[in-house]
Amino acid sequence: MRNRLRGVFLLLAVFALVAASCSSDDADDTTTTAAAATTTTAAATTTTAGGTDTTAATTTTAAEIGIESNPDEGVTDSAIKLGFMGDITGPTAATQLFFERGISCYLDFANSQGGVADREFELFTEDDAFSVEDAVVNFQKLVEDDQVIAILGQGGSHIMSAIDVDVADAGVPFIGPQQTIDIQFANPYVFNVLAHYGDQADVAVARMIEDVGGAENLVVASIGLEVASGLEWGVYVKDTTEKLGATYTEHINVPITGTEADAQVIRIEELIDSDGLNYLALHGSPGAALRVLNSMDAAGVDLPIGGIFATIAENVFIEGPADLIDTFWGVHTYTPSNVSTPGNDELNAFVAGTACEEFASNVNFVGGWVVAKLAVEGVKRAAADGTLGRQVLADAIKRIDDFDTGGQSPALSCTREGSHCGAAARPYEWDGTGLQPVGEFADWSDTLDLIYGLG
Amino acid sequence: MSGKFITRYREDLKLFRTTPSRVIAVLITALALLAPFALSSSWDPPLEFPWRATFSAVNLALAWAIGAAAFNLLLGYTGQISIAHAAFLILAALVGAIFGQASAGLGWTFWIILPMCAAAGAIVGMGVGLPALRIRGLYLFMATLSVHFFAIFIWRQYQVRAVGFTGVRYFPPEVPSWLFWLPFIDPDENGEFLIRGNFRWYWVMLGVATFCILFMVNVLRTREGRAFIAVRDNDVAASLYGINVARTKLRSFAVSSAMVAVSGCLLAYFLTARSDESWSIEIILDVAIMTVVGGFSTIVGGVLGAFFFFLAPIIFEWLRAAPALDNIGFINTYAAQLDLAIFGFLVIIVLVFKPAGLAGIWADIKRYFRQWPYRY
Amino acid sequence: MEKFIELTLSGIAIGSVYALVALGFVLVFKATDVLNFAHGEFMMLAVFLSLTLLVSWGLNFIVSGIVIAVLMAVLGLVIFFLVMKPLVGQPLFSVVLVTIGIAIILRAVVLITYGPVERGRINVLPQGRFDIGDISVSYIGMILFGVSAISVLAFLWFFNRTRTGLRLKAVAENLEAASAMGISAVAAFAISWGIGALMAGVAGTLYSNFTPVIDTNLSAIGLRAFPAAVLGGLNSIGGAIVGGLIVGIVEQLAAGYLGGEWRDVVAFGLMFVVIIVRPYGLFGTPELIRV
Repeated sequence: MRNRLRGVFLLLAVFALVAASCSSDDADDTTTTAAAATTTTAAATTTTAGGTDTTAATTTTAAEIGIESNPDEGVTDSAIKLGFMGDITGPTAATQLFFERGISCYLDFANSQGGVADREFELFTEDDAFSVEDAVVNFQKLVEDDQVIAILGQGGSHIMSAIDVDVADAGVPFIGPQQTIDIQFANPYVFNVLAHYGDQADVAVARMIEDVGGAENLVVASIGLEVASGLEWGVYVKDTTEKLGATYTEHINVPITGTEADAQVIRIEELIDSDGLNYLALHGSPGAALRVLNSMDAAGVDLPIGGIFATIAENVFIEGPADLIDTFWGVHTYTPSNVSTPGNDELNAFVAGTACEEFASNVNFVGGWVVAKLAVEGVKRAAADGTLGRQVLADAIKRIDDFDTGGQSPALSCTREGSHCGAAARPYEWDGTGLQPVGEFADWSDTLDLIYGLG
Repeated sequence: MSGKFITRYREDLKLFRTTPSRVIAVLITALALLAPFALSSSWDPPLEFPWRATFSAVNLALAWAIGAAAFNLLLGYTGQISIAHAAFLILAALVGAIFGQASAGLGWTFWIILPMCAAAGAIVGMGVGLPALRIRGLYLFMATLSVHFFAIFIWRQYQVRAVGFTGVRYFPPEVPSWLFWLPFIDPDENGEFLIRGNFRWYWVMLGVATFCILFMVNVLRTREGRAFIAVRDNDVAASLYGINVARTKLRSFAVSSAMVAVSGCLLAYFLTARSDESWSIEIILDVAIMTVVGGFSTIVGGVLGAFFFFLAPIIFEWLRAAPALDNIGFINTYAAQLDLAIFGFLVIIVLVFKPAGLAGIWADIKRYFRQWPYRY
Repeated sequence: MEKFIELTLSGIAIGSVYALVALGFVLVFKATDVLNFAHGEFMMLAVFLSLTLLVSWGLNFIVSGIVIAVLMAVLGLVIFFLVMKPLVGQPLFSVVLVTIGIAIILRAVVLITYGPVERGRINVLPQGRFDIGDISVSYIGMILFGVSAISVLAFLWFFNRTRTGLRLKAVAENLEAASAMGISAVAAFAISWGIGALMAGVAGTLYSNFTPVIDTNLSAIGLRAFPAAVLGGLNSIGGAIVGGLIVGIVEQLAAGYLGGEWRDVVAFGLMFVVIIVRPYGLFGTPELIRV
């Protein structure tokens, strides 16, 4: 028996050694992240520079009003608790981890500015690894045990549809989910920041038409992961293309259980020959984008590609094939941090030298940052009215109109029907070092038809 | 040698043979009846233990316990390595989606859907069991793995065509009005009593799980159950004893699949939504972890395994987040990844120490008390 | 016709990877009766190690391949001696489940050391294509095919011509008889685990130059090793490569002609049919039932 115990510990030690040896190339990353962990209220935030006295002054006025603690709903004497639920270790971790870091780092930033109502923000992170069962337990934990005032983030339409009723029952504000299924727009407690898939398809097709010089020249196919949201993207692309008089060929499925997309690329080649296909509308995760791009590259197929929001993570452009990256762009609601805007300048100044820095260049980091900014703005407004609680916060966010995020996203107006705060997107393309926006959000807002659903 | 000796056949057939086992049964019943009141009370456990999240986990564990025990029935007792279990979860969800109170369903009540799921599970289960008449061992394993992919394919076609991209939503079951005289059932202002929330679901889960597990335990005590074991141990010898091997295998498939379908039906309505992304291939591994860590070839193992699967992560996440550990940078930064690793280690540790799983540990404890103060 | 040939060629390339993975998987299974669910994770780990050795350290391909193969073999031995050896003689399912535990831990280790961000393929092996008539063939696909063919031949030679191989075979055939002849079962098991993991290392090193994306989802390849291994016959070494190629080709043809959504259904449907018609795989030997 003892020998077995020893065996298990030895195995543990071996794994630790393997881990240590593998990580030597980014050992410095590990140590820096370890130095300033950000899942909970970082007391470390006091060390960061850039806290301005002006905001400190406004928070003292809030504190003077004296907000009563409401520990059942996330407001203790010293902290305001927020929750994040999402996939940190599962198949979509590459997107959601950055989102979580963005939220966490913005809360550090808000704390360095003095917090709100004399309280610091505290973030509770719950990982569900993309499993509904885990997510349901995590939701209960955040709402009932950790007793947060609001939940930020979350990705996965199967999870959203499972907790939708619970969100309404608990009356907990749910800010910035990363998918746009129809039911969440009917839920009064869900605040959507990301542009709807339908809107993203509208912008993408408009950009394609501009690119090929007229709708009659455009022949497009959609390609996406074989999940419901991939098929949804295909339907929206088809609707928009046909409405604008361009040609839509077909939707190509990329199964999630495989690792390459060779057969799909051969189908694309065939469509190029038979239908004159000249554009691809891509859906999926950054991994799926790399899968399609590299498979196309290996087969020597070159075609301009417009992607949905999740496909344009920075690593796709860095790791992807140079030929295709030149003509690959994607639609997004958030502006990556390499683009200088007032909000991004603030972000870059804050993250410099902190553990947040290594995550900041990913566009999803900005997504988390913006969502947290909206949440904090809601808390500020609710606090300014004198009380804090879930319902008060939901009402306060509902009143936020034309909120300027410093150019990191379109102005957020949660007064819209369906709490559709973001409702705008624009294309971004790679300039060799970072993603650059194509025009302003307003330039593309005319293309949105605001029609969603099966059509 | 000490302990109680069974001298008559009737005694051997009893569900609870010894006084301690009766005491334990009473204690477990009391615990099961009191747990929901404790879990929904306003009591705050010390050190911020996630008390109410535990309630969700307990409900999930109860639903999964049926599935894991059924897996054990087929795998552990009849020796048929079938992993089509996720397919029966999908089948149940599909039955609910087509006929039940769901997004595009016909609106039949949950109380009809639940036995319908069981029936559908039994019928389809016999179909899936047909290859088992010809093939065995790992080849059966592979054949049933194919069934999983067929099921997902059918589900996705149904979902996208009939319901849309959101996934199928299931509406809370209603308690029929002629049951309103029962205690604790007070209809809301619309004159309905909907089963939603952990407290109300607990009673449904507990009732159905108890029924199903007692059913399986009792099946195994009958001639048919002993025929399962005979087929597992040596099917040729079994056939010489006059056991119809083919029929026995199919019955085992039918019972097991029906029970898994019941579990899938409960899960679909409890989780309120299911979509194609809910059925990852990992589900098969999850069921296997529950069954084997719980204890192979025991029904109680399935139950213990399901509770282990859902409660261990909560407990170890809580331990990991203890104030003393939480300040260590590495642990804090890689919290979620470490939770994953801890779970993997737990699986290994349990099985390396006790290949018979948690049920083996449970048997050791019982033996220790039965034979106390003698060690052997 | 051109499409058919192109799909078949890409099926051969991807099928060779399945075959290499299935080969390591079958080796462990044949000798120890253990289904190694962590085999896909072994390969994923080898792919990530290639990132470190080939990209970060800039090692030569051959050197890094050897280093990774050795590291993986050591990992296989370590796992055997620490976890699997104490479990010899325990119920089979407990042992199989332990490999799932190992798979979970390997996944966590990779997530911690490399993070979840996807990387592109490693371009150390030649990535180009050459044309034969209208058909274009990729170099890397041919390399993959060549290596799996050589590996299978090497193993056939090893099992039929070398002393160690014959001993392994004896243990796989009949443990008691082999032990009675003085063949150490523990040594045979250890060698099988070592070689099995080594094959995952070889497959991973090659696949890192072929896969379009490197992330933790790569372990899904392990899932493909099952049908490949079963199709060929679980106790047949040569069957693994035929099984792998068939699965790869059928998958590509299904995805190419019917659409991506048919890929798994057709590949697994074919396997289903084969199993029903030939219950011991295409090249497996029927198991004699003792009365």
